[in-house]
Amino acid sequence: MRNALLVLTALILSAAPTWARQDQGLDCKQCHVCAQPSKADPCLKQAACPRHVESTKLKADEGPDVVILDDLEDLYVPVRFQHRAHARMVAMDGGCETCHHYTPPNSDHPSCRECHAAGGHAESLKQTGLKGAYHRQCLGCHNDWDGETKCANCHEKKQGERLGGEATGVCEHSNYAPIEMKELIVFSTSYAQGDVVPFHHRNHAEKYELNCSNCHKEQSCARCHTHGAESHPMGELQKVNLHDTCYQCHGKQNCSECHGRKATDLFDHASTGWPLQSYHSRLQCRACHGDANIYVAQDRTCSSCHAQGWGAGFDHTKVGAPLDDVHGELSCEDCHTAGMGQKPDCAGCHDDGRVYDRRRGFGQG
Amino acid sequence: MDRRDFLKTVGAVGVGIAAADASASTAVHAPPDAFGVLVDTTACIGCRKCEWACNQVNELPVQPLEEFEDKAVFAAMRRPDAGNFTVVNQWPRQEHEGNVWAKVQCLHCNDPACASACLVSALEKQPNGAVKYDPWRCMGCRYCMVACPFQIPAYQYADALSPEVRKCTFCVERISAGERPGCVEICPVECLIYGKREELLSLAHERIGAYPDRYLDHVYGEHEVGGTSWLYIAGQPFPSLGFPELGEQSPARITENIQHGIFRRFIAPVALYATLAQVMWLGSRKDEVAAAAHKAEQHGEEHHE
Ligand code: SF4
Ligand code: SF4
Ligand code: SF4
Repeated sequence: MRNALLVLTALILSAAPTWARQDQGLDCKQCHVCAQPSKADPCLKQAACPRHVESTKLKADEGPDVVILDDLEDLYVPVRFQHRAHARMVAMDGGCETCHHYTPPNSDHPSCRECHAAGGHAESLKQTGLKGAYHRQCLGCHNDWDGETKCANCHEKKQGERLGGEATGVCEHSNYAPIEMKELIVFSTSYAQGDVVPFHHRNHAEKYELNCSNCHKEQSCARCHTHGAESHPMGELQKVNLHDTCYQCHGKQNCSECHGRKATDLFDHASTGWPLQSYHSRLQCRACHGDANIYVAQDRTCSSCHAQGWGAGFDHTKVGAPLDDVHGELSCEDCHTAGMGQKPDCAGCHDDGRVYDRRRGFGQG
Repeated sequence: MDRRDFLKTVGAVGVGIAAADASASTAVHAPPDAFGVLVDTTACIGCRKCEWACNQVNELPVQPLEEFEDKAVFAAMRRPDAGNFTVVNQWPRQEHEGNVWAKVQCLHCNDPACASACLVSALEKQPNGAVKYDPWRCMGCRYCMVACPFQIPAYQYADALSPEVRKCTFCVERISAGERPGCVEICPVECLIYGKREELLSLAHERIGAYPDRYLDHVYGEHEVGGTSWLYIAGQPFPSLGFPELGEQSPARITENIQHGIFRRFIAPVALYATLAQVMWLGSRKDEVAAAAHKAEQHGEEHHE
């Protein structure tokens, strides 16, 4: 009898479920009030459930391009959700956790269905079901944007065999104009010593690698993707915030840094005595100047940046001078007698006074 | 004398008699197993699918689903009527641009004023929470329509032969069969939560506690008119969503106390018949006067010709 009991206990213990979240280092009591939460009664305490735990930061393009949502396929065909397009939009503000509002530590973003049961509130009063979870995520923004709640905007109704469960999701909105970045915006202000402030919008965004949200803070999707109107009205950035926005990078002291400039006064790197050529002109500022907001002059010796990597593996095309077969055989020091990154000493081999010509390359002089 | 004056006269007499008893209310409780629905207006998107589903499950004349996607109806506030037991209204969102929506239907009061006003018990609160209407008992007096603090019951005026009082049934057949009401079943954002009223109440308070920025600390229907089976939570004051500000006492208690007062003192028959006699006398006098005037007018006209 006692043996039978022992066996039974052992069986029960071995059959004990493994708790998914325990593996992720979470304490059950953080979310559940009872000792044995089950799917039917997860006994969640909503107030303390962790949200917005983000362990790994993914880039917008690292997620899937398209996600087919077909768990609840019934009257409507599955939804073809353009995940990447949306991920790129939220990357401007809020990031992945705008939708993936809970990611346990040391795990990838769980899909909606991992927490939200397909049976809806019938499963647990406290947790929104899968249908509600999906629709709240999508319509939370879409309804804000255009006030539309038409089912067919995301998934078409099944009609006989015609759509036979094939995912749709080419909604009318996908035809909307993408955000067009303005080249130049000229602000006119009441500052007497210089009323005009030309703002090179594209230059800022591209050259300084700024995200939209660096300046357009806390803007909803609808702010830029104006429904039925021209996209991206710049007027959305509140006037009162303009100074604070620029001060994030520009100093407060020097008004003339912005006020009274000519619109054509774009910064020319040659004015620092270091004209950018070929490879360097394609670099972002911070590749040399680091992440500091105010860029200062750098040490001009090549090795201040190219400290490593000289030697056998060095890709000489990077300096704009691809080596031909003959020169490729030589060691670096054979030409760069004055040191790595310094001008080559052609006369060491060639006594006819020729020098390397960037446009003509090797061997033709 | 029209119906309003009649009611006023009778009411004045009644109140005079029973004023002393009107305060003798008893606390009301929902039946222990009453079901309810918690409406989270902060999640509602105004899609009107619940309206369509309600018409479907109640076998009311229904237009295709696409017609319910028309937002033009939000231009005016609507009330449920004999052909639509539930309607969704749109309200301006406070402290934020945009709109909020609130679904309206019978709230299935714990102590329904409609049932209390009904002289033939055609409306009755069921143990499962529903306030159920029995067309066989109904005599068509429409007192329930006057009594309901939410102006819910509607009348099939267009039906000349067997008109009925119509209102949300709480899908009583469906919930008795263990299913969810039609509107709850369809709501795409699950802002309608069906369950035991007690559990819904604690859920509502838990949500309010967890998201104080999102919700106002008020569960509409917890105490209003003695409590209702349908409960609402919102992010802005309920009057801004079309809900009347009501006390904690059911109007049923007041009317019933008045009636009970009348009957306890045995004054009712005497007072009522005296009043009625006076009303009728006044009415017939008026009619006579009117008839005489009419006659005179006609004579005059004839004279002219
Ligand atoms: S809301 Fe009106 S109709 Fe519904 S139960 Fe209450 S009093 Fe009756
Ligand atoms: S409970 Fe039933 S009758 Fe009432 S509004 Fe919902 S669907 Fe209509
Ligand atoms: S179905 Fe749900 S979301 Fe849509 S209007 Fe009705 S209550 Fe609101």
